[in-house]
Amino acid sequence: MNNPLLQVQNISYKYGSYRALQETSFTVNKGEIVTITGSNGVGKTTLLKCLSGLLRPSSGTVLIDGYNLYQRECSAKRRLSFLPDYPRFYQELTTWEHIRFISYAHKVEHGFEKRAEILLSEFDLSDAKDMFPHTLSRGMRLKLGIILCLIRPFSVLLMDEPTSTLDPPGTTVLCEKLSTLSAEGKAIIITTHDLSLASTLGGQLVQMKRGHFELG
Amino acid sequence: MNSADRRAVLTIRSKQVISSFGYWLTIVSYDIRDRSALAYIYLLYLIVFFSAWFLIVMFWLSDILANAISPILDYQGIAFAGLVPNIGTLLFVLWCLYLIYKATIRSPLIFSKDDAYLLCQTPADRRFITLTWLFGEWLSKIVFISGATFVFGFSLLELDVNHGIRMLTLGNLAVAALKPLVIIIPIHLGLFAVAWVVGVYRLRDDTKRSVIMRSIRILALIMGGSFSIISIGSILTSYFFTPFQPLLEFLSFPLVSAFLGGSWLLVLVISIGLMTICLAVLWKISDKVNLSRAAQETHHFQAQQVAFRLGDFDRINEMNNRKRLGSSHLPSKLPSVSGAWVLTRKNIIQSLRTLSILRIWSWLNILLLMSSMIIVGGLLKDGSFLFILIFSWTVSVSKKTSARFRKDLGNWWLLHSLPLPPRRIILHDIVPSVSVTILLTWLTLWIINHLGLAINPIIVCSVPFLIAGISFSSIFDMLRQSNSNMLLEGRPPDFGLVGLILSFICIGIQTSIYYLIIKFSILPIVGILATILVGGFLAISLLHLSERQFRRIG
Repeated sequence: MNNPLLQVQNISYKYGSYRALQETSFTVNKGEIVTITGSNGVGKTTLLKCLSGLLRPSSGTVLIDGYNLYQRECSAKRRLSFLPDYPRFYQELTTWEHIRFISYAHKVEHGFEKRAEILLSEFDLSDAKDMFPHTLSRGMRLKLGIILCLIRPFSVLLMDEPTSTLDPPGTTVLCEKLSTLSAEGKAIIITTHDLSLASTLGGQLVQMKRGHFELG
Repeated sequence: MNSADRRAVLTIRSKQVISSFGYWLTIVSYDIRDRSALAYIYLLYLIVFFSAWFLIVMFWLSDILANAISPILDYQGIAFAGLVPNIGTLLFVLWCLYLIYKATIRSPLIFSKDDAYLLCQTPADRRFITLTWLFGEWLSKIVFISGATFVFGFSLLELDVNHGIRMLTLGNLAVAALKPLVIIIPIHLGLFAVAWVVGVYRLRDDTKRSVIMRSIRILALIMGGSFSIISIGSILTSYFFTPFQPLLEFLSFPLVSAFLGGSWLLVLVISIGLMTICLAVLWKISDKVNLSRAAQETHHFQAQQVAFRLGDFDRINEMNNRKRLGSSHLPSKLPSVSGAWVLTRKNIIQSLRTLSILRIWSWLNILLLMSSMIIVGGLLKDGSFLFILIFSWTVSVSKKTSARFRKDLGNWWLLHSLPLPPRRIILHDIVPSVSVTILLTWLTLWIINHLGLAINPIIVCSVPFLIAGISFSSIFDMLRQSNSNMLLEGRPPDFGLVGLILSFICIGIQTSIYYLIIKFSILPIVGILATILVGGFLAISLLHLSERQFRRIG
């Protein structure tokens, strides 16, 4: 049964006169995983930024679980989780405080501590619980970003190169998590250069070329 | 060490010196990579212009010393000519002790991360590197010391001219400036080398020498304090400090000879001799200097220097905050809240963890500026000075009340992901700082009222709307300039001219209401109502504009 969680209608994006993303429309249904690959600069990150609302597309609209991302942004954002390629964090908050901040902002209070502890241990960040982000390595910061995306409720998950600096155990844990989330009915879009990750995850593999995105 | 290694070290160091020199040339629009004839002509023009400018400024300062300060000192019974060597000696001693103090904490050899990769792991001669770095560092200080010498030399000549002892000729001017400089340069370099000896001794091998360094620090503090008391005391009450006179005379002897003549050649030989000894000691002990330790201690400082040159004060603050925060912290014990209040909780944690004297001072600055504005406007009626104060107050309030929101914009990914409407995000970020500013302003008004200067209730009522208006104006301007990519890179814009103009419109409208009420003797209650209505309308409109701008970021 088709149950679209993400509906993209005629979106395109221009950087000045350069069209970074050609007009495209597609839907991602419940439980679907879409893996986007393509060379550098083809528009993968631009597409994800448009889908997350970080970039306002030159044309078109995005619906998250039926909510227009640009008109009913709060409702849409409650159902959307996005991980950028280089996540930045508050300098003065520790790893644990970041997780608490995001959870409580999304009103996830019950069972927060247990879930947070499990995620920290799965991604091998338990020892870095009280550390400030500037003392974490790039890979550890990416893991923290992933945890922040997973700790909150969502229907659509967007991840921009989530394994770029992850260690092999971290990649394995992430793959397992994504498979579980897909089984739970979440819609997932990730961009990657790692084709083995795409084959592990299954789902649809889309090769982007010069801003062209076509989902079969 | 072979000549190729030496050439490599010299190349790296000279590139650094040229690049720091190039920074100053860039400020005056000269590109050091430009090899065209026009560029050389412009360089020549710059040299002539700045040499002339330098000499004119030195003349002007010496003129102030000789014709304005010297008569005052004469009136106090203090001879200016005698004062110059004493003050010079005091400054030299304090400067040297400060350098020694610094060298016991941080390496005098400053390396960037790149230098560390290029030099520290190579078998290049440590002695040669140390001396190359010493001369590079020392050269940057010589302009200042030459300037000070010229000023004192010229002023002493001017005094002699005033008294008819000497003539104001080019030759005399050259002698007045160069004669002391020739002695001061070796003394300066020698003292500079002494501080480096301490720093290099600390960095020899892997030994920390903490006890020795701590003792040197304490000794430097004691010596600096005692010498300042003795030196200043002997100028003001010489009879009391007579027992120390021989010591002071011994220490100031080189500068007395440099500026006032007598045994000049002997002092020059002694200065060069002492300088040579200091440099030789440095050469001797720097064979085993641990460059990796030096790089570890200084790359943070070097990065700060670079950020300062680029005017990247956010980066400097970030680096200082990181240092202050350390590596870890136990979770905050502040009670947990959910929804939009997590922003307020986060802001309190952030503020408490980065609290510093400088930040407290910036709040007090608002209080001081406000009281100055009332005193200047109410008592002195000085319009031009009042405008400068209003401008400074507006900038301070804008900066202070929008700082937290700006920092949050720098974490755009996290801020944007929150399921909160922009209005609530803006309000939660600015309400605490706006409230503190309002309370501080009211406190100032209350104190001034109690000191006897009556404050009109219209002014008291206008304060919250005025501060909210200024804050929303700066936030609107920041959002207007923002785009998603720059925010994702952590580079939020600061408020600019548009923010200031909008702030001044808010101030202007509120001030006009106040003056209209006073001029036409309208009931104060009408004025209060008008202030609240107009101020409220302005603040809400600006908040609405900011909210719209927030949604448009992309």
